[in-house]
Amino acid sequence: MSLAGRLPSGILPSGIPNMGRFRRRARLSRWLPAFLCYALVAVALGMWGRALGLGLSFLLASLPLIVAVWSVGGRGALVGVPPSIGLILPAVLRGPAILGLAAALLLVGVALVALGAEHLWRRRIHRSKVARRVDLCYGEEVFENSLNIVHVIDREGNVIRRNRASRELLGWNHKRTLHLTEYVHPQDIGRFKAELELLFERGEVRNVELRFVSEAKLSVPVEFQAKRITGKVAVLEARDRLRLEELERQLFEEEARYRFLIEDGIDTMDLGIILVDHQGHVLWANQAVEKFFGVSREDLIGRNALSAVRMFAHVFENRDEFMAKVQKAYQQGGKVDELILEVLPAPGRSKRVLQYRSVPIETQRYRGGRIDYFADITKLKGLEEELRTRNRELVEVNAKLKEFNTAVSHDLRSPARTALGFVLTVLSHYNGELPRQVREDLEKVRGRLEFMDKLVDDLSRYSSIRLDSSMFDRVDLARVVRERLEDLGSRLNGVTMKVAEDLPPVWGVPTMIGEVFANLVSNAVKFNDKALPEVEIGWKDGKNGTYIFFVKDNGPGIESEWQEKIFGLFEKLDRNKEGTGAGLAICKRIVEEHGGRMWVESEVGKGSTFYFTLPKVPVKKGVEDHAQ
Amino acid sequence: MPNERRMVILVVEDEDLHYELIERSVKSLEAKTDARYELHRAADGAEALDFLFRRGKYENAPRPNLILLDLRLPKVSGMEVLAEIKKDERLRKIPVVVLTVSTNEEEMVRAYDSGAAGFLNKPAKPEDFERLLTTVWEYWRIARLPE
Repeated sequence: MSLAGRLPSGILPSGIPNMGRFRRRARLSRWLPAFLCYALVAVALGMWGRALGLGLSFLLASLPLIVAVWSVGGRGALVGVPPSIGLILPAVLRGPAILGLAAALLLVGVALVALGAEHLWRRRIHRSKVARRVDLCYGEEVFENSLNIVHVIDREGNVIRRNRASRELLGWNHKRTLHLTEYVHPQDIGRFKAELELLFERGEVRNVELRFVSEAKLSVPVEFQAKRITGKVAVLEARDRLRLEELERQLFEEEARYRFLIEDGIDTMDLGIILVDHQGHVLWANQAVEKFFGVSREDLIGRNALSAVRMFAHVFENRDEFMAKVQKAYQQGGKVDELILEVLPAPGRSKRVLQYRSVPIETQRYRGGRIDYFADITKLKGLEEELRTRNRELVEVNAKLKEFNTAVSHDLRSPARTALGFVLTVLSHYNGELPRQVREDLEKVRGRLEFMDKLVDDLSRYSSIRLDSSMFDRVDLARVVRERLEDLGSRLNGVTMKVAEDLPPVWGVPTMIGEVFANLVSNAVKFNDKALPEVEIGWKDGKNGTYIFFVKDNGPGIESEWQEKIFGLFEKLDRNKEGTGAGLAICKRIVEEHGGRMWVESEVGKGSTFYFTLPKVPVKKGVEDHAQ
Repeated sequence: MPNERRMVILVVEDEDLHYELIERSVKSLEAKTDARYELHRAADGAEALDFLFRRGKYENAPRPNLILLDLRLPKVSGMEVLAEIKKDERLRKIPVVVLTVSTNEEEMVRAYDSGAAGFLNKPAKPEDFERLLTTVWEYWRIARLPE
């Protein structure tokens, strides 16, 4: 690639100062003394040859004057003409008598002509000076601001003047001049000198590549051209090749990237691609196409797209559907969206499930062409199948769990309740006839049977709490809590209940949420050891779109080692208290099924606070678990 | 006069022991009061329907005045039997009291929605059961007085 063609327009060769105006001035200055001498000679001749000679000689004298003044200053110089005529006329009419007057007038005329001529002369010089300065100034700007290094050099290659680019690229900021060895790479000095010789011999050199060095001794590869100005001075313009090389490197990288994308990326991906040009011929196909269909892409490329597709259509189980769609799309320029193709296994290719898409190209340059994609979704299909199996298993497990739950709640319960029935019957029908000890023992049997019944009941309730968001509804919490507290009735006698008046609405199953509150309040009262039991229900804003509710008591508190355990099924801290110990487990389960969580904070002797979160808006189960 | 007619009760109950408990409660009630009951038992839902619709060996079965219906039954479930009863013009007026061991609210609500007149946990305390029978007896006695 030629560098010269890319050089920004610089000073050379058209930038050398124009000398035309100076030449014209030189011609004029040569002219003036000559014609003044001529005028003097003419005057002398006139005085010698008397009247006729005088008139003639005036004429002779004034003509060159007129011509000279005209050539210098244009019409303004004609001020010298009338006095000349004034001289000639009396001389012709009156003869020698008025010679003295004529001579005086001649002198005045000459003086006037000279004055006019001088005025014009000065103006001319002034003009050309201005023009020259403008020229110089302009040249200076170009010289100084050129993007390339511009050096005015002498025959030895030493720099006489240098521009900003030179200072920026080579350094030596404070030096106006540079010695050859200061800016030419030591290894290139020989070549540079040879080029110099050539330059002053021929007048110019072009496209010379060598290295300069900077003040910091860094090599600066340049390409330069130079033009001789005079026998001793030349202007050299050099371009920094590093910048060019950077551009070339970028270009190369870009190309490499695309090549990589095509050859290593697209070619080897699990997506078969066939490009069709606007004439309907296969432009390119990637490796995946070969792998999927057991064909050689060399056979496909260049072929009519439809016949190319026909070459491998037979590998599909649903080849007829495929061909019909392809044909229609190709002929009408339409799309094919997500056609599932099953590749039948054969030697050279394996069983696959592909998703086929065919899209016409809309971008300007390739309009009319199309791209066919074959995405390998075999694994995905496998996963889907697996997922379906898992799901089926899960449904089965769930069904079995439900069955188990039913079995527990009914079958396990039934014998206990039958036994209880007989005990109750005996106690009721033979009450008076029973010895005291038997009566008491039967009462104990009855108590334990009832407890067992309650256990089974709680167990079945616990395991049957399974909510999903479709069951959720807006819960008017204030009302639900009020109703539940009313249900607790006399159990709250003597208890100072404090309920936040502004309980906000939540999303969930109203009966379930009510149960949580009822359970916690009933626990708070049941286990309270203070003379004046206090229970408080309140709330505050929680994270991730939840509210935090709490039930606080002034009871005995729970030691920290038990704080986790109390939420376990059938965990009881006090064996002698009534209840199965399932209450908190059920509460926790209910809260968790609403996507919330439950915990306790407590101080022994002072009381406990049970916290739980509930969603402000409907959420899917487990969302908060992930957020935690 | 009091012994003249017995109130017919159909007990649909698959468990022998539970039936025995009901039988004993009824006997004890008869011993204490002048109420007289005629107990019939169907051991599953199908048999209950045969009895109610007088099919097969129950061709001459009496029309019961009260049905005690267990919800968990072999063959035809209690809920299905209840639905059949409520579909039939003549049978729908007979009060049905549902017996169940579970305290499942959902089941209870469904039973009431289907037209059950009452709901008893089984086995009920003998006192509760006897109170129920006495109440029904009183209603039945008053209802048939004009006859």
